[in-house]
Amino acid sequence: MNVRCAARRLVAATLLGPLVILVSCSGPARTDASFSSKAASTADQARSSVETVVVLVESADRHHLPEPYLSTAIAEAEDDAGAALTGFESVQPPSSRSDLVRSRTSEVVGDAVDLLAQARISARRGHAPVELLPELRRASVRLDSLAANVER
Amino acid sequence: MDRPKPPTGREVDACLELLDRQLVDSGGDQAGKVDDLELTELEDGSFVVTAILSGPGALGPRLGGRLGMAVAALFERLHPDTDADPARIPFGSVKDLGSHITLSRSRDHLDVNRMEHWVRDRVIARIPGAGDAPE
Amino acid sequence: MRKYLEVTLGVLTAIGGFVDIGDLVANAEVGARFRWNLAWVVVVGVVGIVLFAEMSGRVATLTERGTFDLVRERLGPRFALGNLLASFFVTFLTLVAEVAGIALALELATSVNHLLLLPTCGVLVWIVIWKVKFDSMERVFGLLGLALVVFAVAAWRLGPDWSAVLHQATHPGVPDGEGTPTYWYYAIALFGAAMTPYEVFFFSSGAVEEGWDRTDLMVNRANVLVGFPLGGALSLAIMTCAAVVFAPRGITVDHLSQVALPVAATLGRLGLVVVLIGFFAATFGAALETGLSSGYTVAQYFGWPWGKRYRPVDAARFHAVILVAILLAVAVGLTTVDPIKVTEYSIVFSAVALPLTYFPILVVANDPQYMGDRVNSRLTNALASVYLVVIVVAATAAIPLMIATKAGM
Repeated sequence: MNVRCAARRLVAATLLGPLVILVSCSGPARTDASFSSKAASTADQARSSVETVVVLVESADRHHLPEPYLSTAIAEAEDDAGAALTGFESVQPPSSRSDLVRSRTSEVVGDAVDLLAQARISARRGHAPVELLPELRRASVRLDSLAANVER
Repeated sequence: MDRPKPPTGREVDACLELLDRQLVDSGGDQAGKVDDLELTELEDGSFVVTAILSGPGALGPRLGGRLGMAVAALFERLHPDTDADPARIPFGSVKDLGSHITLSRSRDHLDVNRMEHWVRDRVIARIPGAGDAPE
Repeated sequence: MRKYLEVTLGVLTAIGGFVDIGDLVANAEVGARFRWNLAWVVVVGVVGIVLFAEMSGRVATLTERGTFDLVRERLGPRFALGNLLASFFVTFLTLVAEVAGIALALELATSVNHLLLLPTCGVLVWIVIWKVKFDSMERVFGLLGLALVVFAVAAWRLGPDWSAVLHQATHPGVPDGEGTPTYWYYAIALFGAAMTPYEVFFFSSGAVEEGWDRTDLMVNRANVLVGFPLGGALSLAIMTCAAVVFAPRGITVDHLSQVALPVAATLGRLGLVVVLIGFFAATFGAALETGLSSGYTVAQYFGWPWGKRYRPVDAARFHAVILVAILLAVAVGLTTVDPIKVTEYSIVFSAVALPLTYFPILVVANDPQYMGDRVNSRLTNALASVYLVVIVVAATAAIPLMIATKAGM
């Protein structure tokens, strides 16, 4: 065993590592508990996006932030939430008991994604969507309680 | 090749002070590394260093293993002649031994620089501004 | 007086040049999730890089040769080749992240999709490397990078309870809702972001490029001892901004736009413009450094003529490597891979590569044949040995933790 051998193994391990991660990231949920856990983390991710947009819009209202930044940032938040939802909806519910969890999560997260889309459209038109703030905050609260209840 | 002279001057450990050292040409420019040494056997059975070998053709076999074979194969692929020998600098061209090896010839006359010239002529010289000093 | 100005300029350049996209992303992500519980890692990382940058600068100044040149000579071609492959891989990955980072920064300013901007960014980076003199390049981007001081201003304006901050920073723990393996994964990531391997190749080659001699050793020391810690303070400012604005709201950072948000929220339009300039300078400067480092590492190993101080025709293979590296970096970026993900991987792999890059410097810095009477002091060696242990531990734990925590999810 020499240094070169070890170095080669290290390189191989580091190249394989990411492959393993990619494989393990979006695996199926085998139990109702792990499915609920996925639902909760999806709700958390969506909530993070909604809160980001809340901060963005509040700041835009106070400071008149430039349109390119505002619209890009809101679009990124919307993409994240949308991706989380799509990822969640592609998972097969393990049993019929999880069906309710699935529909509830889809509904709440879906509403949030729609709201973020509205915000993005408004921002792209050069208008900071300040009027959406109350709805955004409500969406955040709904997502928070969804995450808490679903992992009961 | 001249008949090797009997040993005079100072003794150096070839491994420590010759191998993998930087080659510097008569103009003070970098000219590659000492990738391997050519040893010639004398009548009395002892060996003397007759040339410095440089470039992937020399380094590949020295590295050994699969990696070394890959490097050597690359050299064979890139060299215009088939079954070429690695670039060779006769030891008589060595002017000084120190933290680097100084040669008495310009690198343009060395076989070692073949790759550098190829890249220069085919790739770099074609890009505008290649001949300008950075501003 | 002239020397004093030179020192000041060097220090300012070092501060501005310290932060790159890895630091921007890592500090913001960590601040949002862990508040100040990982602040100690930044301090440890800064001390580490100060130690090794000073060593590599000293080695380059006294030997007038670059790191890889000496590594091969001192430790043999086989070890050095393994070292080269690992270092080149990590440097290249960082180059991909930095070039993509430039495009992201420009996207935030123009709302043009970063994929469309990517080829132009690659071309710009290459043109600067091709045409602009080394010290002009360093000065401009280092000083522009000082724009990131806006994070310190924003952190001060956000006004957290500083005694509570200090308490949490000095009594770190794993916060509720986060697992211990995730904590240590992010610790390693933050460590890798602070102790970037390419910095060492670049610094030592830069010393040769600028023709440093013994009298410049003092300048070297000042840059490193003052500039880098202040740069580390900037990292902590980024962490603070994220901790104050994002952590209470449960926001996780996944985009460069979020990194800038605390500044925009506190300082408004002007703050945002300044921070975007800072992002551009940081990523562009780092792209130049990683691009050049990819050339330095390969050329120094094989003994080719290298350096920006030569005309390109006089260092053809060196420039060819850089050209190919930039082309490939743009190509990888164009596969629509998420630049933030690439950044995260690049810092973790940097942590894995650290032992390979730092161990040879330690060996050379102790060799009187190269250093004369300027070998490492006993204190430096003691500190460096401790760091070597830390680095090896971090390197071995990095990949297992990455797999166990699914890259920190």
